[in-house]
Amino acid sequence: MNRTRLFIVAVLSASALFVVGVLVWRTIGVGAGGPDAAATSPGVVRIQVIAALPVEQWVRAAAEEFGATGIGPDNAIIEVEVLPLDGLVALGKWERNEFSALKAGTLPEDRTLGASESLSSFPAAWIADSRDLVDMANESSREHFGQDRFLSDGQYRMRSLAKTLLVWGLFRSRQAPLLENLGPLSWDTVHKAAVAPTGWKELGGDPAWGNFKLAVADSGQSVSGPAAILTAAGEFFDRTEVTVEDLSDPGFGSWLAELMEATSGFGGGGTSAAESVAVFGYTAGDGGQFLESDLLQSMEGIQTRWREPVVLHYPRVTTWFDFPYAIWVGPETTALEKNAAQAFQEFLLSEEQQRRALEFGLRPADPNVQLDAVAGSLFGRWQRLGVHGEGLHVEEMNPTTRDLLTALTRWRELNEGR
Amino acid sequence: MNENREGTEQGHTVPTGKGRLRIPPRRQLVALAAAGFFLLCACSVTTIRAGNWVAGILAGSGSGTSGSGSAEAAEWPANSAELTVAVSPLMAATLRDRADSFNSQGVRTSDGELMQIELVTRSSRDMVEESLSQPVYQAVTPDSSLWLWLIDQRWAQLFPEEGGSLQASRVGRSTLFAVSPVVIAVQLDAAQQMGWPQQSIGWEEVQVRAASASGAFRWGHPGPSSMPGIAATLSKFYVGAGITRGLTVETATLPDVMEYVRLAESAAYVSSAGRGGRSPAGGGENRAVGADGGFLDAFVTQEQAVIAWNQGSDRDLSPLSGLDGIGQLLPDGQLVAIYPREGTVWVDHPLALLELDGRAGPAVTPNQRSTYRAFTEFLLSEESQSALLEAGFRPVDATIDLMEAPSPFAETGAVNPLLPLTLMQLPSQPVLEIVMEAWRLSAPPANILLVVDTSESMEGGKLARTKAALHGFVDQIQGDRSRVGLVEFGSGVKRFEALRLLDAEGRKQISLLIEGLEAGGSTSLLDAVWAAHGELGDLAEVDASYAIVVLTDGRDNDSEHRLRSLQRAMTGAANPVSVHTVAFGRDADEGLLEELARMGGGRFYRADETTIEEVYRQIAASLQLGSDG
Repeated sequence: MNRTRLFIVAVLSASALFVVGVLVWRTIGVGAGGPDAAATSPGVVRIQVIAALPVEQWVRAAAEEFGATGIGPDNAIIEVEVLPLDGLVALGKWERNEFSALKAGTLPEDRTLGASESLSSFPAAWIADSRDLVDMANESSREHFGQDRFLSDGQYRMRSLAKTLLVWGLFRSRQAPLLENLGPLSWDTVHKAAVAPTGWKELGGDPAWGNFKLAVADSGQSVSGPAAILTAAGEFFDRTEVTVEDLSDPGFGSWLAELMEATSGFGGGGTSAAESVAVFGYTAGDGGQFLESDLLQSMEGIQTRWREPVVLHYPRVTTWFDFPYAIWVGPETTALEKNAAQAFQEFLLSEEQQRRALEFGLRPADPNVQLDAVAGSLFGRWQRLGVHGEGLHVEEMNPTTRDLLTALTRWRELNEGR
Repeated sequence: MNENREGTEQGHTVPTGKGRLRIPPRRQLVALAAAGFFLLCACSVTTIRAGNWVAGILAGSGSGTSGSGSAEAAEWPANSAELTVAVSPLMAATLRDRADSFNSQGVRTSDGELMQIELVTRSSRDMVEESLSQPVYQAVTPDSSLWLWLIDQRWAQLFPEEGGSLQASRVGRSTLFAVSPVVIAVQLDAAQQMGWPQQSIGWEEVQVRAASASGAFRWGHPGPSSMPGIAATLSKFYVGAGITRGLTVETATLPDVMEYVRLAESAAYVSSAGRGGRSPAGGGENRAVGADGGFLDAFVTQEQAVIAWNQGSDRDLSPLSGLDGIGQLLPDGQLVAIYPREGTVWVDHPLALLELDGRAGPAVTPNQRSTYRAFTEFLLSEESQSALLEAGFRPVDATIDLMEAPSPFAETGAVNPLLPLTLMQLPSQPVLEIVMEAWRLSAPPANILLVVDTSESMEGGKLARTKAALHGFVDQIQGDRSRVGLVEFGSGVKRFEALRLLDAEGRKQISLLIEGLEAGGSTSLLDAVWAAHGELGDLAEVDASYAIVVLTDGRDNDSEHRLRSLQRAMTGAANPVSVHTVAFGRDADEGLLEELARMGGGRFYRADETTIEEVYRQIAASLQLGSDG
């Protein structure tokens, strides 16, 4: 090869090297500068965890503490980003594959660059409101991927983090006239109050209070909404298992429609029924059915804003929420991310964090942690307002199924205006 | 190979089969090498960039994609951390203050992008319309969650196939940060005459007083583009029906109820954005407000406005009414907030991220989501909650005591933070639609000329979609008092069909005229607008509105009139005629159309074959709502 050719070859090689170098630098640069910068930095694993709204504050606080604890498994620093989503909303996203899970048979290495970027924010775990929601998401997974994506056994099995239940709450000023006139709180009592033509005037209260207003989560926007309706159905039919046929019963339909006429329509979009009562007072509800944890968290605000508390009453039949922490086991997340998610699960189940849950009105999953285990426990603080601690005995409704949810949605579309 | 170690000018030669080839000297060789290196690198990088661009276009993320039905193109970079928020007039000033404070903190995303909040002001109702296509904003703060619900209702109707256990939502998570109940702000003397504060006062008393023959009491409220406007209008239905809840379509449309509402509408000053208000007038005839120079005794607004008014920090109230100078209609005294006995509603100012998914323009970026989260956290911070309280709102942090100094609620009897006690029940969507259209019962008729390009380029699918859009437009114009005409243009004005009353016969005629549109010829856009404006500008009808809706897919290439002469004609016209323009497809002269809309005080829209019907529907709605300015 003569010198000129050598020269030309050298120039071409240098150019090619430069271009390759630029491409490599850009790829690394983009990765480092992207939103998932930390994920690609050596030693840092960033995971996204979807959290049900009732546990959001507790999980968020725990995530900050967890990030400050230092090195996790696989010798990596773990950063947890909490994405608060109502269980129904999250379920809808799983069902519609809005997180862009890979199609069956697709391997991570087959992903395009864009798909890889979108997977960088794929949730590593989901703290659902209840186990039945995870079951429904798994049903959808089986249809799409041929297998469950959240496991109930093995290393990455879902585990309940804490518990809460639906309880009745009534402004103290409204309690006396209502209970004196209609008896103990139940769906039947509330229905009678809801249909009273002149409202509080005939219920023994101040006529200026207007009609009786019922606070209950929006059944279309919050997972506790359908749960409340199902407990109402349970009481109506006097059993803990409600069927699709029950929901189609004309007698129940008109009874429920009258009941819903008294609902105020507040809540949804991330605001719980209890928060609505704190902010909007009596217009959001003279009373209603709330998650115990939501109500305990909102109690201070209710008292400050409206100069009186909401008193708790425990229903005979209710729905429990157990907040299972479910780790995604599909190929969309790496082994490092799965391990990081599991480490955070362990952290939330640690005794210290279980005790911290009490400060957010949540009943710990760990049976060894007493409800008055810490000074800041909301159970202790609001005991005088009717909070039941240990030894609470209520009947539990059977789990919600997809068919029941569909039937409720259909009923709502047909009957429930805003 | 020989080398000339000294030579710089001379080249070397090497023997070849074809003769002797000159060998450049060493420095030239180096220079050539450098130039070659540079050229090759440049070519490679350019090729890669071009490849990326083409890939982007193919992937639908190219910058060539533009929104439709919107006055501005919705585009932002894929790493944008700038969040644009549409805010209702009721919250605009306060949120501006909060946004400025947030922006000054210089918060950055994890990849170093500066988080910024930009605000655009929209009526809540406009947000619903715009959010269904590709708005220029990624988040909204309407005055009530009701509007978010309406967005999702409409979205579900547009995309019913996107099911799941919960219907796909256009609105992501929303956050409340400050609320305020809707009240009747009454001038102190007038309130005392009504028995305040000893007696509870309701919507009924206010409406009865306003309807009395003496005319001694005058009240007003915004139009149905805001929550206070909806509350005031809804109250007329409830009072008319003699109920406090359970309003159904059947009840709302009873002749007695409709007649009551019509009279109550006539007896109230109703303002709406972009259109002159209507004052209470005798004989059911509406007159322009201010014609008799009267003051209002009461105005329906949010509680915060009463605090701001009494503090002297806001004596304009125009953001609350959508009409400049409304504050001048109230006497310069103290106002008190009446929480209506029958119940009221809240303006809860939700801040919601729109789930723009990239189907009609750029999607919300991860950085914009981060900015949304950071801004909501900022709004819920102690600093912001205190600032919102200071501005007269009720912060959502309920642990903040409203009655503790220096709260503006603490030392005033004008507002009562322990009220309201009861709620005005919002009816179902069909009833709500009736309520929101109730203003038509006493609204002035509209005179609209549809100016349509039927040049050769409109042949085929374009013309077919346009006809469908025009039919939809006419269907959308409610009632039988408005008039619509048609101006078809190509090489000059091909057909001028005068205004026809939209009664049953008129609707049939217009429908036939639309079907008769035929493509052919060049594009005489300005001549057609000139003709339409000449017709409307000289009409002598009192108490009516006038509008031109222009559509073209190309550029004016055949007009005798010029833009400047048209502008002069518009300025000198007897009637104010609003001009709305639609650029149909990519070849339309957007610059000219934007200028026409600006001159005519109307709006400019982009449309393609998939969005043209929705654009015309939006225009019809805005013309009827009076938000045409």
